[in-house]
Amino acid sequence: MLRILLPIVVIATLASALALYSVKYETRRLEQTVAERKRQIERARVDIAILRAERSYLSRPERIAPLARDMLGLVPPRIGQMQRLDDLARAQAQPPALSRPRAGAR
Amino acid sequence: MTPSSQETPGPVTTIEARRERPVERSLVVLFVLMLAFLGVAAQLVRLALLGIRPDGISVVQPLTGSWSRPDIVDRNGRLIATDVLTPSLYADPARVLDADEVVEKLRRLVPDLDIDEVRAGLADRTRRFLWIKRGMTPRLAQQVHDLGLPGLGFRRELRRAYPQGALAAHLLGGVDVDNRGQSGIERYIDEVIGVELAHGSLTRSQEPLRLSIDLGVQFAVRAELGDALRRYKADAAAALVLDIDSGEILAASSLPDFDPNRPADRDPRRDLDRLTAGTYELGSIMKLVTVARHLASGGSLDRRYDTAKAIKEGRFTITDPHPADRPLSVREIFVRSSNVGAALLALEAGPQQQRDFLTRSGVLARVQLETGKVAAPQVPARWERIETITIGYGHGIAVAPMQFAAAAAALLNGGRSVQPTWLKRSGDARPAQGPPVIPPAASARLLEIMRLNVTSASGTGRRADAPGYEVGGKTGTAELAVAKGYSKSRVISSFLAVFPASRPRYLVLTMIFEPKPTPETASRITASVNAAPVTGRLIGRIAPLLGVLPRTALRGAGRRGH
Repeated sequence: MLRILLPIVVIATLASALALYSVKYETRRLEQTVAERKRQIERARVDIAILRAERSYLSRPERIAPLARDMLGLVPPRIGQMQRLDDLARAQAQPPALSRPRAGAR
Repeated sequence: MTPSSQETPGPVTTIEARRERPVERSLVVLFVLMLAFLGVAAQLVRLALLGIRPDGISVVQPLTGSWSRPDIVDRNGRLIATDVLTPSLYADPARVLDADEVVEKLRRLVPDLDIDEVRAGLADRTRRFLWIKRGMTPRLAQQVHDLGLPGLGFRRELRRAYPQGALAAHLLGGVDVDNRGQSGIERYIDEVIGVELAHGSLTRSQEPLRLSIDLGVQFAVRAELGDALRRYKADAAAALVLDIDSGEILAASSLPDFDPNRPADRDPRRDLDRLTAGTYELGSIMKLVTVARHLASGGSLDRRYDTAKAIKEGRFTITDPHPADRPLSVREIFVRSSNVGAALLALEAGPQQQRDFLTRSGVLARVQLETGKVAAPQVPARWERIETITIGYGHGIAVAPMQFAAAAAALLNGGRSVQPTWLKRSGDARPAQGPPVIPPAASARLLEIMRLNVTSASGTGRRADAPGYEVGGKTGTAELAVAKGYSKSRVISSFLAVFPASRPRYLVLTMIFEPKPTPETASRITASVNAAPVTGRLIGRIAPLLGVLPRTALRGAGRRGH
């Protein structure tokens, strides 16, 4: 009886020890992965903060205004260039005789 | 061989008898051991090939406990201030080998280093920690790292960055090296909103603080002021744009200003925010308040006053530069900016009533902003007949421009007092307004004469017109108090504007400090030739940004039965 039980217990002990070790190492590996991910998140956050600051720096009006003026030929809107959306819709609906000069003036 | 060994055969034979099985057993053990060693060897090879990863965080640049602040954004969510991680250089004097070498090499890379202080710090070998330079650029940190000097190290610290530079410098204020607010909105954040100590990691838990400022409008205001400084060779200039209903300050700029990213460049002249921290005699724009009192106490715009003869009071004589040959109506007094007329209106009230009205309308109160109270108004110790006269046209009393703007907003928005704020009001609904200051009818009359002053051919404000946006406004040219009386050549010219006059929404106050006569202004320095055109150009530029529809578009709508 004991002769049969002993090897079984020994094998069981060895197996559980192996299992324990593998679980322990798996845990450590996972912990490392978590730490690595946390570092990546942290790095990404820092990068995002810097990029946001940089985007804001690059899009500051002081820089955009001359670029828009010189490279795109943009100027502040003049009063004749502004219309209400409703009016445009109404001008469309009106007979062509009335809407034509308006379109031409544009 | 010893006899004892010869005696052993007996037991040996007993073992011999079972020899076969023990040999097999040891072979099995050997095999198992070999397998185990092979396993160890394989693991060694694997580790040698893959390398050993240390668990835990690499501690090259620890994050020190600095203060994490919420971002600051403008009313449309554009970033104005944020925290970034920057390396800071420290030394461990006990581990520094050659202090002179360290100082010498660092000086070449970091020109603004305080050499003597570093040298003294490094000399003390008992110290284990010494800040050398806080908040470096990553590139500079790399260069210092490449020097390979022992005893130096880096720590990452949170540092405030202002990507917009000097654009809204005065209202933002600044922070110290530990990222704690020192002045302006930054101090308000520390005191009211709260900052968090950042350990180990960046916590972006705080909502950004949304200001009332519109960056586009702010930029236009600052650019026009810069232009005004050059055109009129002025000492300084300041302007603000205020929503007269909600009290939101959409833009506020005072030149010269400073770049909050470079605290070292600051000096008292640049630090002075003339809108909130300075008080000035504002001159004729105060006539708006004088007329407001007249209207609020039941007066009419058509009532006429004889302004032809000078007013004598003690050693003072008040005259108009171009006296009218007939009695002027209140409307004309305002449009021609008659000092005698304003004096007569003020005298009609008398010192007590005048003082009461100034208090009620908020000219004498102290506006409380998030950045603190504005400078206290300076009022005369004796307030009698002569003071009443001069205050009637804006001399003898000095108030902060922000204070006056808030009071004027109350007079022009239908007569409800206004609490200016640097923060965006939540919700789209127009907020409930404060207690009444003047009747709505009086406010409407004031708008009428403000607009008249810009449209009429004799008006002092006609150069402030921005076609389509119905600008109404009043000029003010205040002579600066000098040793004896007032200077004729040194003035503060200002312009108070409101637009659009038919649906008043925004107030603009522009001030130009000591403009010089130039060919463009026909060698004059009065507000009508400098502050007024600056304000007109400014309104033409910011009105589209603020979503104000020009009158032409509206008229088109009206004709079709809108």
